[in-house]
Amino acid sequence: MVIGVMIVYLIAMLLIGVWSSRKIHDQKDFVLAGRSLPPWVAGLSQASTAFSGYMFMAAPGLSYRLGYAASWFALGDAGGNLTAMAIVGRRIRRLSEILNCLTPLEIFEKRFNSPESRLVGALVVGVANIAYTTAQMVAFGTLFELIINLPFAYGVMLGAFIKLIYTFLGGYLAVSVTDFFQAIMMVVVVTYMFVASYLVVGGITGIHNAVYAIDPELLSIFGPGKAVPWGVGIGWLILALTYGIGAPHIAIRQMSIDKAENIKSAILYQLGWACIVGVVCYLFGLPVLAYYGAGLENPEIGMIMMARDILPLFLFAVFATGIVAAIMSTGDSLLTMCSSTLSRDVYQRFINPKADDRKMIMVNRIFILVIALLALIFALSKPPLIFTLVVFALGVQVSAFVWPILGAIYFKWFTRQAAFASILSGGLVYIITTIIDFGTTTGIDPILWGMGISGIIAFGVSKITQPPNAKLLEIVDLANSYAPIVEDSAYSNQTLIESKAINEKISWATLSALANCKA
Amino acid sequence: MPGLSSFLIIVFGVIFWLILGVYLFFRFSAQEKKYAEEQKGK
Repeated sequence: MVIGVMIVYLIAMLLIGVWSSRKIHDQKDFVLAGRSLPPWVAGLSQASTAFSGYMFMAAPGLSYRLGYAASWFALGDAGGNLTAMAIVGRRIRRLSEILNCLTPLEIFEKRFNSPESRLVGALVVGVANIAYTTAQMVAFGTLFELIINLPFAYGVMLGAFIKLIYTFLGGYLAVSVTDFFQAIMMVVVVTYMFVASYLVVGGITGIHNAVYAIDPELLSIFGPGKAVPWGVGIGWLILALTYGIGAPHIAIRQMSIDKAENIKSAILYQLGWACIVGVVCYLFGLPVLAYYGAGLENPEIGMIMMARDILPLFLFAVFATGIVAAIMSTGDSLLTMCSSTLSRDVYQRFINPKADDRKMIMVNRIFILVIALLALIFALSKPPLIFTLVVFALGVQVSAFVWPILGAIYFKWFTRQAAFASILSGGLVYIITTIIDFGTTTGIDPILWGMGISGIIAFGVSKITQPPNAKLLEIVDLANSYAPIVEDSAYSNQTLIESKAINEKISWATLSALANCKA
Repeated sequence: MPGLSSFLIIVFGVIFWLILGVYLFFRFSAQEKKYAEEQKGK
């Protein structure tokens, strides 16, 4: 039964991949779905991309270990995509069209006149997204091992293969459309599992009483033994509220919506979804704790075990398929984001600027294969908890990119050097403070160190370096306005050429080549 | 019920996000409308 439902689902995903592949004519179609996503697809696919297999394994595992301390993440996840879309959505959509950008990192180069920011940004995206993709593959292997007794390595390889096929064929369009259907599936299975799990252990009162008997501090938002002090809790909240801005695989959804004014509708679609899935998944650890008691060897599979034990077989099969959907919806986005970053931001920009659309689609597909293979190798070595990998991947990107993205849209004083320094320092500080476990030592989460130091450095460097050219700032005004964007890239190319010539005194031929590096 | 305050934090947090989302939808709609009317006036 379980295998049958999954096979039906996986075949449907492959068919979407084949259908999407027929709609791809150029690089813009492959990387950005031709900026054609309606708001319900953009909104729900952004939400389901943000919520991966992590939500069905790591999130319940977190509340199993720390109780209501997981609320910090739950509240952030409920509103995280809302804040991202409201703060940067419409503006980043317009800015990317004006500057003719296909990836978030391309915005850094064109808005700040900073190719070095684009390059170091690509490095950050590469490292973080391979870690993130690895986490999704581990989730796949763990899931198949648990529900159909498939050896872990085979499960990892099977998941990688399916995801690879439809991403390889259909690119970003296939990813967005499948994410949309996966989002619907996720909200359905989360809702009925929530009702079933709470009813079976006596409702909210029954769960609270059972958890209280195990450890009263599990019912505190600071966790047992104050494991999550204010500094860590606020760090988690901020991470969840800002990854929609800082993580390129999520931010790119806002660049691909059909019209900038449709962002407001996309906000509502994803918000209703996130307020259910984003919150409920973090609460699942409590019924698991009440049902099985403390001492589960791997709390990250507690919810799946409970679903297997309390649901009728068909509903469990659909539930397990919903988890597969969650894993796939993020894993495919990571693959396309990472491959488009490496192909567009590194290969085409720095190695082969003359590559045409046909070649770029091929290069994109090669990178998809390479990244999937790398993640597969890491996943087979059974790395640490999914929670650790996902939080690390999001944290390093948020620390590196949030300030430059906000600077590109809101802060006219933000200079080229500040963008570079901010990305570099944010990424490095987060990595170092995570490795030395500075969060535990100081009681302040690494995300606050990363974002804080990155912001201070960006501000300081901006004050001591040459202000941006006025011509570039005209683009910011246009992006922030409601004025129609008359002709794709015509305005930006002219403005970029003029501003770069004034700022950099580099050759007109180089500038023209850069500005004409069109989608 | 033990842990009621933690549970209510989540409930009120969700309500807050929902109200904010609806408010922003109408605020953005009003801004677009205002811009369109300004353009008509010019």
